[in-house]
Amino acid sequence: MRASRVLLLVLILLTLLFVFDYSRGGIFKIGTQMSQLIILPAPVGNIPTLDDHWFGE
Amino acid sequence: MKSKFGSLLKDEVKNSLGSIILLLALVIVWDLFLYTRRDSWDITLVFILSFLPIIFLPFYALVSGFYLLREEWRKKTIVHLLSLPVRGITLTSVKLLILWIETVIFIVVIFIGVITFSKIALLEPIPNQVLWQLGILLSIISILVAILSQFSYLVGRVFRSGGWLISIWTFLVFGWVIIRYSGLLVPYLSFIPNLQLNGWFLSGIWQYLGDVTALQTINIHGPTATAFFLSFFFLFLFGSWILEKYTVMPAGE
Repeated sequence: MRASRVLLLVLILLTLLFVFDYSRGGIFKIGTQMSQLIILPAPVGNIPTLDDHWFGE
Repeated sequence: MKSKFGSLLKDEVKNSLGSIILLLALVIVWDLFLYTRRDSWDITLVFILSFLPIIFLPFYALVSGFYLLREEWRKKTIVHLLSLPVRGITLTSVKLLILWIETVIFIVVIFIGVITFSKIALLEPIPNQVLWQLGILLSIISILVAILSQFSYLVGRVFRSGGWLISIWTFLVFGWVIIRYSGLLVPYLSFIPNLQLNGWFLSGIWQYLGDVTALQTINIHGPTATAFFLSFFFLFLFGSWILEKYTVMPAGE
């Protein structure tokens, strides 16, 4: 079926994009993106355990 | 079209009554169990545990998104549904609406338990605004998860074999694409204002840890959130279109 071939191609291309992005460290940028979306209440600085590195560099 | 939507919704409500009752029963049993523990366990812990069923909401949405459509294929009613003069988007909307209704019922029952335990455990009541915002946020998250799982199932149904594998693959890949690349729409949505939510729960945790300087608000970046929602909306439209045009009907019909 033609639609299934197109969808399979899309999936393969997106998977290759994932592999390419992963090899460039893209997976670690998701944390930064999420911290851009939701800015949680954070302490000013006297609790060092949960700081900016919570979501990665 | 409106009456078609109504009759489809009525059928779905009848079908989902069992799962609604089961959900309610599970939450009520959990709350009753906690109530019996209020003297032997730390009361703050009992209050925090009354939130526990919330964790299952996204999982429920994930399973339900798949399950509601799968039932149509299993019972072979999808052939009948698609032969009606209704569009694919009507069918997918009805499924999402019923899931949203279930989620709202689930959240309301959980919050009744939370409010009851908060009266025992806390000195001050939980602000109503916090519960409203948390409830809306949870129902939105559930719908987004359901859209993704619904879409994944429909993509799997385009293939004659290996549908489940394709569905799981689609779920992972498209979930990743939306999280990673929906941000590309942000520059075009910069006119959307940011949102502020009441950070009562989180600032409460910081205060419990001894920090009183934490902000009282959770800031939601408007353009990023809208880009995220828009991506899911496109996925929903794409899934509905696939359902209408390209899904393979069950054998034997």
